[in-house]
Amino acid sequence: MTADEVSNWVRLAQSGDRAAYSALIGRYWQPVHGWLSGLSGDEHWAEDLTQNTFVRAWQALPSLDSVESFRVWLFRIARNEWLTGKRTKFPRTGIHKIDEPVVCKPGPLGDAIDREADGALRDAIRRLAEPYQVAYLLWTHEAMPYSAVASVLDISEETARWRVCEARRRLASELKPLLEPPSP
Amino acid sequence: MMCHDAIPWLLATRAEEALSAELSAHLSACPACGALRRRLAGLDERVRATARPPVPASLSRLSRSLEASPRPRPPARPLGSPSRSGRVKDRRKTAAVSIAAAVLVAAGWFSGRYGGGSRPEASRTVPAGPQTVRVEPFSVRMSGRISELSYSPSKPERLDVLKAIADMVRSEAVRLATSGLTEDASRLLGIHQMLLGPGLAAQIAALPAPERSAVAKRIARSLRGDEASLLTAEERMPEAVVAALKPFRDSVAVTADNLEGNPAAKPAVAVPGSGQLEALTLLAVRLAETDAPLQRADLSADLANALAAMTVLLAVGPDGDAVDKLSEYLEAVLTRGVGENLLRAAAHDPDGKSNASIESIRMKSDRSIELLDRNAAVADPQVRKGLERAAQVSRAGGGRWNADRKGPPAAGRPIWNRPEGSWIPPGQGGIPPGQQKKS
Repeated sequence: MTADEVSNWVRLAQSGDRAAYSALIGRYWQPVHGWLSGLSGDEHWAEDLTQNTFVRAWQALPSLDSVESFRVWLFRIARNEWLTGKRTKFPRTGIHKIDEPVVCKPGPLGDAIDREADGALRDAIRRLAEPYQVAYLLWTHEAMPYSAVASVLDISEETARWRVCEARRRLASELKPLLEPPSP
Repeated sequence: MMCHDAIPWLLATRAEEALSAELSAHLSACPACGALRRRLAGLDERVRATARPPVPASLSRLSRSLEASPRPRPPARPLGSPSRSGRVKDRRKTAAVSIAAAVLVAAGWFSGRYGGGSRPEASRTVPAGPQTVRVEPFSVRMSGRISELSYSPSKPERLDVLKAIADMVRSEAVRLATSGLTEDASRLLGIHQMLLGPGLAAQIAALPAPERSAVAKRIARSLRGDEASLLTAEERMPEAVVAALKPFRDSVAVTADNLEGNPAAKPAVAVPGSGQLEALTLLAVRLAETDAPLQRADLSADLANALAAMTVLLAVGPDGDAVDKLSEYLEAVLTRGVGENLLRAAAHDPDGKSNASIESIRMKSDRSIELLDRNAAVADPQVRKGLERAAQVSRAGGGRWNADRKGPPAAGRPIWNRPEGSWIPPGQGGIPPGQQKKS
């Protein structure tokens, strides 16, 4: 979906076209869900937050002034949902873990190592202070430029840049053994 | 190019972005920076790969939620037309009219509040079913929390109280702003920043490392919750109100950022304006940071005098309840803030080296009751009643600790606070000016 197509869908959705909005959900579900999932570390909770984000965005869509800034606007709503959800539901650690199906497919050793590496990566991200986590995930998952990260988080571009750099510095240092294969 | 120049560039750029010739040359010559670049590229790639695919069940639930939610109203303007500035102007006009109306309605109530104290503030009544609930004036509620600081011995407990006071200030700002009194709300910003910066962040930074981390984490989490609440509330507020409250949210976010990022860093010094509430805030911050009993007693004596002055101010108005409440706080500050801390200081000073300071603090605290008595003597009958009651309650506080103490002799204390039998007859000195009756 090109930027022009997105703008067109947003205009149609603003006038109440549910099909257009569904197309936008299809386009942005994964980025929003992925970002919230990275922040919360809880797939189910992230799913709830993503749903709320899209419902709220639908309700507030007529107030969106610039259709071109839909993505940043949507992530701002997602951020608000995350902050609100965190306040009311925190701490959530382990709540959904009980029902979570455990997938234990027998597979090659490489898969197991990858799974372990992913787990270590997620843990390291979760250990970052929240401001760094939020900015870094927007920058990587959504490939947002610093200006957009700053708009979503309501901070200056300089602060956004600093937070991303700091997050990368810490992660690269903490995950050094994982990211740098041992020399032969 | 050196490593310390190259590293910030590497951290700020994506792996796929083109690098300057200078940086590329450095990378090819420096194995450490080359390795960092590879690590960063691997990191971003792995993070992107952890994104989850959509969950079909969720999407169907979402569709149901959308079906149930109201259909958005189409925009009143033609889609895509550049009419934002016009809409902003309209909103501003509407906000200005509503603010003006609200100011006219509430001007009487607030004119004495932050405008120099020419009129006393009054408590509000809020309907609550068949009964009504009295809401104490903000300054009285704030005084109540500040008095707690005078007698809370543990620092983490005092930091929690400071946080609660900051919350209270912010809530008041929200209430004022949503009532159209955005300017009054903004006047609370200095107080709010003082409580969060030198009050919370600076004192957390001064805690010993193991304790600091836990306290910083707890307070930062609570501040994040506050930030979220403000954000949610802002969605329903007019633009002018959001603009007035944004600095409050910013200071909450900055404090949380600092506590999460580097709780050992000391924040910039905030200097609040001069005024009754500002003076109380400074006392609150100093009471929260000070551990030495003698200093705490001294600050409590200052607080007692400030509360007495506020009691006199409020007594002129129709709000008897507020005066009674302040008297209770004053009594607690005298008994526990001044009294207990002086007893503690005396207990740690078997040689009596601090006797002179103890006596001086005791005299200072007695001035609060003197102030009430002096004003009661010249006040209208109705006001006098409230002030006399306040003085009586406060005197009980002063007297209680005097009875417990084992410090220096009572000589030099104002007459109403001296033990029975040691009174000096009128005309022979010791009677404060306001108490002397003209014959």
